[in-house]
Amino acid sequence: MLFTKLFIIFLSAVLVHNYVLNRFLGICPFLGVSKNSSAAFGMGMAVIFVMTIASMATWLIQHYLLIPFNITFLQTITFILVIATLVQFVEMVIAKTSPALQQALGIFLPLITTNCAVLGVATINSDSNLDFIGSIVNGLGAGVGFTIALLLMSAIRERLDIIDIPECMKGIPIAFIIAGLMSLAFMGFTGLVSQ
Amino acid sequence: MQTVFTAILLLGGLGLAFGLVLGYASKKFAVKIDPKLKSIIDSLPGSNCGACGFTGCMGFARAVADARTSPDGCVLMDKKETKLVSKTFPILLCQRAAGQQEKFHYTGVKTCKAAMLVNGGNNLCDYGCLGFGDCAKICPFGAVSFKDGLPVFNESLCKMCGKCIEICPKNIIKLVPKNQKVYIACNNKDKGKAARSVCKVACIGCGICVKACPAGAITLEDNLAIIDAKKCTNCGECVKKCPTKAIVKQ
Repeated sequence: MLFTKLFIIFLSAVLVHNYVLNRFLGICPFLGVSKNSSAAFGMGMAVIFVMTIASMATWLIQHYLLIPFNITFLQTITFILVIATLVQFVEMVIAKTSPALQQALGIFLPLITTNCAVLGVATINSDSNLDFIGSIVNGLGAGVGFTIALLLMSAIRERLDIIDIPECMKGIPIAFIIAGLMSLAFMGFTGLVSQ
Repeated sequence: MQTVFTAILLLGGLGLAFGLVLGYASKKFAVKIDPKLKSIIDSLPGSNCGACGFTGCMGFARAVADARTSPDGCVLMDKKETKLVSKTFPILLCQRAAGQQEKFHYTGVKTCKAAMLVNGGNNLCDYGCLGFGDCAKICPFGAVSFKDGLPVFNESLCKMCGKCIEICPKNIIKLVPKNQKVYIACNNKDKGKAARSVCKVACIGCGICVKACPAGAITLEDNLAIIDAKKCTNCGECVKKCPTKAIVKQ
């Protein structure tokens, strides 16, 4: 029963309430880092990682600090603080322990500090009253959903480079149109899970 | 009241704790930077102006260390000595700002770019400085100040990144070699009478300076005198002879 519940949370975060294409969070990296697949993959992996641990940390902060002391109105600023610290810390650890991984993630890791999708996951976790495990799974699913959206987008944009597009549509305009169409397509998942 | 103190204590405490953790981590997990990379970073200006096309000086230093780009990509670096020198200097090709003689009273958004959209700006002279200071705003080094409505470039602060030149909608900022002290502070390409009617200190293309120059460094082009920096000896004859005082000696 627990597994079913977690699977539904996961599926909901990946497809039904995809953070990029349904909740429209994290549009900036979605358009900025989707020019080629390898960069998109690196960014996606970094986001999965950060979202998962951020869900974990913010849940603990929320339930052991903010709620007991009755200061949940400080949620946003606290979550930003936690996420920024976490990302900085993780980057330092990775730089020391695995330079190869740091090379692969490159600039993406510090960029995620300011990614609204990460903050979005943390706030949505607390808004929808998920438990600890549920929060982690939701964070993981959000990251996976983000990666899927980013990879699809980058694959499309790689093809766009070689085909004939009207001059006025080249670059960002066509990317916006495609993002909109992808969002429409993802709306087809609505109803797959009723939450 | 208690909530306020709880909030301050808790958030302050969190900030302090995180700060300590990060401070400790930065010592504990300190990574040795490649000495080559470090020496490159040290020799860069560190202003992160981005004119090289990389994400700041660090990005450029990495690219140089990996031999992805050549060290002279930094616009502030001397090509041969790879140290900071600036051999050129920006000048303004105008002596009369919009505020002094207006074509119409402009009350719109106070930027040159916006003013330019309204019939080419409010300066009576179509070639002249609009004086809203886009150049001063974009300068990452604070080298552009305003005096009497015209930008003044501070030689010791200017790093030659060229951002003011790019942003000027009138294209009247120009780089000249530092040793050239004499220049024509006007960009009006209209015929003499038309130029004179909009500005008292315009170059009217009379050609007196061309004849006066002992080195033959001045030529006329589009009713505008041009000084050849290679031939100019900074003698200042043209400055004395110019009837409209359009030639300036620094």
